[in-house]
Amino acid sequence: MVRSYAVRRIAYSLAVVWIASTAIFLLIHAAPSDPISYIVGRMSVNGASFSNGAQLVESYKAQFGLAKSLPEQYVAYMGQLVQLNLGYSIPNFPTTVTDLLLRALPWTLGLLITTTIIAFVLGSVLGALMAWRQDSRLSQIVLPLFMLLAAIPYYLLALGLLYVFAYTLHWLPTGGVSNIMSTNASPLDAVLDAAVHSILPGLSVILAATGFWMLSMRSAMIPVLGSDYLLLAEAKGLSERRIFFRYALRNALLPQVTGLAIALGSVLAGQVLVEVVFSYPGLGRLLVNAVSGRDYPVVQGITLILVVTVTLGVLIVDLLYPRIDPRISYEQQ
Amino acid sequence: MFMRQGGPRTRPSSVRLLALLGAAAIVFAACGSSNQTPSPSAPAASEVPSTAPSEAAAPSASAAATPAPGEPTRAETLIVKAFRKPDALVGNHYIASSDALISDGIHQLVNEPLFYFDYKTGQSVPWVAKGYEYNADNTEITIHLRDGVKWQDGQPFTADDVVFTMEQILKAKAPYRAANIQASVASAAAVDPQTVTIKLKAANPRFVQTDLSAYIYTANFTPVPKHVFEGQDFETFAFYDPAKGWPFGTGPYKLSSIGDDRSVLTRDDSWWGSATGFANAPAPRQVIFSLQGPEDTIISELASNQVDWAGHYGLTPAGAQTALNQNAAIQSTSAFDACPWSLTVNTTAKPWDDPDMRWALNETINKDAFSSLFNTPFAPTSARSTFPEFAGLTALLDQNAALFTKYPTTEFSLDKAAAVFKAKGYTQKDGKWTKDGKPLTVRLSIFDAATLGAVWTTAEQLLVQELNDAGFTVNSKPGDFGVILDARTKGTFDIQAWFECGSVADPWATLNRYAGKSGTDNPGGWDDATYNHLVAQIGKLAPGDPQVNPLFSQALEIWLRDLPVIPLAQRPEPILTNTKYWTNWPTDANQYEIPQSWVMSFHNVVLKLKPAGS
Repeated sequence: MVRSYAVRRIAYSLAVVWIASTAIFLLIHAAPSDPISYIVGRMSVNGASFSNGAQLVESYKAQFGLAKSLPEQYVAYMGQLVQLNLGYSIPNFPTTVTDLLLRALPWTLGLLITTTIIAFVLGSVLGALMAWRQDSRLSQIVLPLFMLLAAIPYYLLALGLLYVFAYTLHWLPTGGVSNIMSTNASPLDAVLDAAVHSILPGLSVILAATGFWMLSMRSAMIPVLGSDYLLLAEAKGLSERRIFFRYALRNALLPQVTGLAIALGSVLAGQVLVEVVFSYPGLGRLLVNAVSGRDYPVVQGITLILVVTVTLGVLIVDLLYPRIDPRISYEQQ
Repeated sequence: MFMRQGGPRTRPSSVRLLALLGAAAIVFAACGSSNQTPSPSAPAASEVPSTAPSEAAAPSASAAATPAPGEPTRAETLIVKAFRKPDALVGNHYIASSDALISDGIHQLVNEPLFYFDYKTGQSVPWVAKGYEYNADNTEITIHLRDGVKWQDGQPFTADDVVFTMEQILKAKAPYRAANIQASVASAAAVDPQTVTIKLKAANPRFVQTDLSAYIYTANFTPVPKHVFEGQDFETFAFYDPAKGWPFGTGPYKLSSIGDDRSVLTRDDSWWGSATGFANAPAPRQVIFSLQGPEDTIISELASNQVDWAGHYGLTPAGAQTALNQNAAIQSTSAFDACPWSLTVNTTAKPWDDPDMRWALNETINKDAFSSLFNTPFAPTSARSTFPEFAGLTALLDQNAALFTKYPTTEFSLDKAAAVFKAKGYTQKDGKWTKDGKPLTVRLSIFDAATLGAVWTTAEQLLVQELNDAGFTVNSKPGDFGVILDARTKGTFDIQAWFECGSVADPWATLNRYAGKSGTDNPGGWDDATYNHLVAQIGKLAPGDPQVNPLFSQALEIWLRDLPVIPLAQRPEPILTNTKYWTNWPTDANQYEIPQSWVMSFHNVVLKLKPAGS
């Protein structure tokens, strides 16, 4: 891989992150709402009555830097970003945005990376099998089933699973991340408890996403089936299983892996409703609360994470492409 | 540049590597879940082992875990649903936003105020203080602190803590909910370790009630431990460090942990209240404030006895009814929010500077229909005034029933309204009232769905429809608090949806909202000199003084005559409590305390709970 290419790609990625950060900053500050007024208003809803509300608003705006001009706020924001300082959460002051994100991130990563990978593996294998055995019973049953599931939004599946397995059958928890009475005496208990609580939210993501991977894998597999090297492998007397896994599937996997890297990068987005339905304390739920609470710094922080992870995912795939597919090289011809 | 080289090669599967990473991720998430744990409180040596039977596996997978030996069982645990997860790791009462304050149980069970306010009697009930007295002109208060009160770290609670806290508030630049303290107090001094004098800037016979007591949802003044806060920046010090056992207060519970979706508080068996014989130790060994999920989840959890208290943004009235139907152990309690809904009228804008027009406007709004949006399937609770209908205020209003007959605020009559418009020179053209070629326009400022819930979209539609039907040309502008407060400050509205927070027992606070330029919440600009004088006179009298009532009647009549604010609806909250494990909840028959779990006085409910079957 040419070093200069890698350096250029990294520079482009940094530029993307900077442009996206600027866009996020401008969009949020263009919103008509005002986080301080929101907090003061919430105090009023909760029964507080104070004689100097306007003064209070101005004092808090000064404290959070919201009284400065937009360019000044932008410079301060960028300066903090360079130092990896995302600032304070306004409604949760003095809790920092970083603290909130670090608490929520493991739950999102744990659940969504796992489910994305499971959906990917399951969908890819099923899709490859659909293509390999086009006239099989498997295709006739599994394909329409997963196409149907893929058409149903995550949150509707989530609600359906919740209704059946939690509300009606009481087989699985209704939400949260651990048993309310759990003492979590050992790490193993904690893991098992978290795993049980992850089943329903995970299942809703897996069932909805598997269909997508299955269909895309099937599409990627079909052109590979007519390849000469498969014919040669068959002629050499290799077993069907070996030909399927080591030759056909592996070569059809490349575009899927690209998609997986991007999907993992954007795994944080789009799962908001699953986290809300299952009271899962991940980034999605944090984002919902931040938006409704006008918590600008947290919204900025989460959106920045999304941008960085997607950009990073694409960058990593791009740089690793020659490793994945040796037919590809970045050397100048 | 891409260049194809040769044919395909087999490589180690990236999928296997990614699958391994995914499995590691779930282990990482479970092990690494943040569990901010203050110093663990081991069971006290004097703790009596529970005789309650261990909780058998409930018919739900989520209740199947059996606590470790010595840990509280389900029957010893009080589980309360909170509408917000405890994101804020902050124990400093003065810098926590109001939503953060009410989510983690700290202000309810760890902190204690000098006094709790009793809505029924209208009196401040001494707690960590044992009494107070005003001087002759109500400009100075002497507070006597109770003997034997200790902070949870064992240090004594003294006058120095009170004075220190007061001084910090007075120096603060943005004192948040203690803003009223800053506006009222000139200085504070310790006379001796158990006595504090507070000098006020002006006579205020209600200062103890409204600012030193847990009043409405919290106490504006809650003492902080001087020995911890001294040397810290009062306005940024979080007072949160689990390793040091922070936060702590004088309350009967210590904060054990704040997790990702719950906070856990453990009974402090060395609590000063039970140690001194002042109060019985609370029955629940453990209290958990748990993040509530969607309404169906709350209903399911109530049905399977996984929850002991639910309400406040989590349950609609219909959802509450469903839960009641599913579990005989569930009971509901009437609970009014202290701040009824209303429409502030801009009395400085024509034609709403005319009281007759304001009354006509009032008659075009169907209060029952508005209230039903919030109450269905329960009966509507139209408001006749802007006072919350707690027992004491209801009695006061009932004594003035003749005024409400003369000024029927809940009346809905388009005909009466039309008669007024005609008398004022308006004519109807194509169903719209006009005068001198101009339509009778009303600018409606109202909450949007994102601010206070989807019901407000329907509320806006209802009000717009009613006003259109009445012949107004309506210009509706929904918005969030920023938009609403901006309109309120600039007066860019004709009518604005709002909530009237003030009185809960003594009428002065609500009356004072509308007292001209000095009114605490009077963006409509109404100003009546006689009314203002009456309110000022009431303000000089102590709450409960018999002279208040006749003055109140006079002030109320003026207010009703002019109607500067249109009362809309009382705000009942569906509150459900579960008697499977805990009894002696506040009920309609015995509402010894307001039942909301998010208010500071929930402390008194927890103290009175009894194990079921005891």
